[in-house]
Amino acid sequence: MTNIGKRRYEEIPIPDDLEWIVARACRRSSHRRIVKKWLTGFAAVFTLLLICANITPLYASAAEVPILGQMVRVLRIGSGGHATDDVFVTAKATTTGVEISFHTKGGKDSQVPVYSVTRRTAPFRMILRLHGIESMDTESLLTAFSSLDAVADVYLNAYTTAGDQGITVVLNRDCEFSVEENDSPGTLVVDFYDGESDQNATSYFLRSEAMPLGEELADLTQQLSWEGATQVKTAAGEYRVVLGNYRTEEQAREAKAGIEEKFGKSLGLSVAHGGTYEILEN
Amino acid sequence: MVISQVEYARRVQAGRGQFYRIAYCYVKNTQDALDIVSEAIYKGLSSLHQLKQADYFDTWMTRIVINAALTHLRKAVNQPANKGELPEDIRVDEAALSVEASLDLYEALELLEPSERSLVILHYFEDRPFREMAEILDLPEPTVKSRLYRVLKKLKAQLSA
Repeated sequence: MTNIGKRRYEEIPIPDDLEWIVARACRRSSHRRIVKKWLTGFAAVFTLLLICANITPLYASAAEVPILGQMVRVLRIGSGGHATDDVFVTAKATTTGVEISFHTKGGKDSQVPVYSVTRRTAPFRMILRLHGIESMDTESLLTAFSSLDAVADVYLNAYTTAGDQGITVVLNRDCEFSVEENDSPGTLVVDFYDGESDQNATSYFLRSEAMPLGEELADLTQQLSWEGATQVKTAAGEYRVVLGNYRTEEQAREAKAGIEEKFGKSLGLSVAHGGTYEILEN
Repeated sequence: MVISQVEYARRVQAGRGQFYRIAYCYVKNTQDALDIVSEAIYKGLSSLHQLKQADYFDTWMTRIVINAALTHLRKAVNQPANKGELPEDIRVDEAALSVEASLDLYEALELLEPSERSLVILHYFEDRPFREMAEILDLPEPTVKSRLYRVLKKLKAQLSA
């Protein structure tokens, strides 16, 4: 028998995310396991994950995530969250990542503020930017990330916009990350897991002169924000604004010409290149 | 375990569209439906040892999805789990359960209690035989028909008002 209701039921659209969400749900288990990235003994689990994932081998990982509240979305690149005011940020390490919590001034749980997740290479890093932040417990955040095997380096970014906070997390080889947004309580859980190492391809980028973490860095980043500017810390401890990554030197030079046309040559950008995981000396 | 975790994963992926649609009918929004499916899959994985026969997978998993949806709704609205005594079964002729093709039951779901929606979804949208519905909802078959009949009466009364 057919009827309108049944047709409408059959026409309920299936979101693209569903396959990924199912694969992820299959990965959850009732026990947290600490899996060091060089232990590959759980062959059955990996087989399960590869079949579950059915998307890309990059998700084949045995990292267990403590999932709190109700998961809203999981992403490796993108944005989400809610418009909030005066949010306080704290963080703590979990077995495989970092759980970031948000509170109002009164100490109550807050929703996750508007955030964005960006990824770049040379070096391979995650940039997490938050908006509408009253104050951030930077020490707990940096300490939490630093304690993880997957993290090569982590540092604060500088922004001109009041209420903006952000960090750059540089990853080690064979590591991947995902960011999970939860509601009630609002948390962001950054999870690190085994990933396939990129062939350490060389990529090109534009970078500014080196400068300390501060207003000048923030201003330049703001000026170039539409070009996708990020901040990178060199081995020497100074910061540069970086644009890219570009696949070829020619693309980088073209981009540079385009930007100099818009902003003039005074920005002092130069073309550089590096391996996927390479942190430049200075 | 009658099916392995690998097999479980394969089957839930194969059935994900159906599970999603069922969940969606209870909440009518994507994010909640995804949450419900995610929760249901996790619960299924945790209780995989309770599946007695591989053939039962479909009804077993459907029940888990429905329960996950009901739990989700209870949490949201703070409703108590038991709503008290339900009236006795009445004998129902299956012909009494037919509906006009023009009656939009999908829309009408909004008028129903969550547990009532289960009956409509399984019978009118998924065309499940009563025997299967009884399995999924853990009710005797006559009770399924009886409750479905009452739901239909309730809807027709409300929609014509």
